Amino acid sequence: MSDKIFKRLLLICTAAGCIATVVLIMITTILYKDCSIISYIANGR
Amino acid sequence: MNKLTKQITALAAVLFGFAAFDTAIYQLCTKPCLPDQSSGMQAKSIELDRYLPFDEASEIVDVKSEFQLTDELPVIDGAAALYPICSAFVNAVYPEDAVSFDDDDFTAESKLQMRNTRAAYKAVVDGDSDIIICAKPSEEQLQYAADNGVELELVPIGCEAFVFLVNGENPVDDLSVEQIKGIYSGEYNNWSELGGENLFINPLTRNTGSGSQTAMLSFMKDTEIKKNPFGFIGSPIGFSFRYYVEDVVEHGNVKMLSLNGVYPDKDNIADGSYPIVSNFYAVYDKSNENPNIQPLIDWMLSDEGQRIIEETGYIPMPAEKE
Repeated sequence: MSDKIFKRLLLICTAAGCIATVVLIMITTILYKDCSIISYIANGR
Repeated sequence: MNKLTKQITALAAVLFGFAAFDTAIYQLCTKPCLPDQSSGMQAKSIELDRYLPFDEASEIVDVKSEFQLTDELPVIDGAAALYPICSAFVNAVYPEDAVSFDDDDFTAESKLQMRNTRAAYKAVVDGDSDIIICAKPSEEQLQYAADNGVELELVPIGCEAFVFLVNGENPVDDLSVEQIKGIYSGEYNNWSELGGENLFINPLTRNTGSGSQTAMLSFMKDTEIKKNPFGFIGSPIGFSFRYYVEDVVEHGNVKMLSLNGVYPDKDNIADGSYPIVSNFYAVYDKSNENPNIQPLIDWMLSDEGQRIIEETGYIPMPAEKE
């Protein structure tokens, strides 16, 4: 694999990982605002 | 290791790193926020149409009283958890055409409304509701009334235990009142300090102005509530009124804690041994001239009104000692 392709793949993987993390954090924030305290306790530890 | 192997390893490490990080976020933060699908939780979701008055399929206590109101009907409103009582009261003493419901909510003309505690206190001050059935008002709600020149009359009509809840797998079953205060004031940050697992304590609070948050502030008195900054990765504790969580405790993964060794069941609440019992009130504007407010509240305090409160699942007012 050439360095150019490797760097491009590395960039794509990093970008995809960052996007997935940001989306997960956004979904978590929305869910947290709407979730009931009882659900939160029941689903927790 | 040749160059290709190193490159594939690097790519795999990046992907694995993100996957592990996202999994940790999901387990610690996202998963607890997902809606609880247990039957108890579903049963306790207060859906207006399940507790409608004058409806054969309704789950309210169906009592028809000899005391009937026909005109100048006070608009009744209140907290979500007390809505089954409000609806049963209306069902017992109001004419059927007093209530109108349009599939989602009560219409503006309906004499039964369900705005929830915060909006109900605003409505009684603004004159949109005549009697609201709620827990004690918060400082802000009293201030809003004072700012609008309204003096609220609070008549206790029933009582309920203020309970603390933890996850069903938490080994802690009993705490003292002082330990609860210690958790919410930041004195205790780890369940191991209270006989539990080595997990951070996540002391949850409610929205300002909600009935249970007002009750919590009253319980803590002048002690400031502090959040544990690492609590989100630990095990939560929360609070509510007993009736609201009873079904969830029975069928879901949540348990109520004993306080000072006393479990919040009906007997212990009624005999006063459970240490935190709050009244709920019929609240009205003292200057409201509707002539049926006082007779209706007197009826709520009668044997019939108190029986509705008890059969709905709450604790009636203790009988006055002769």
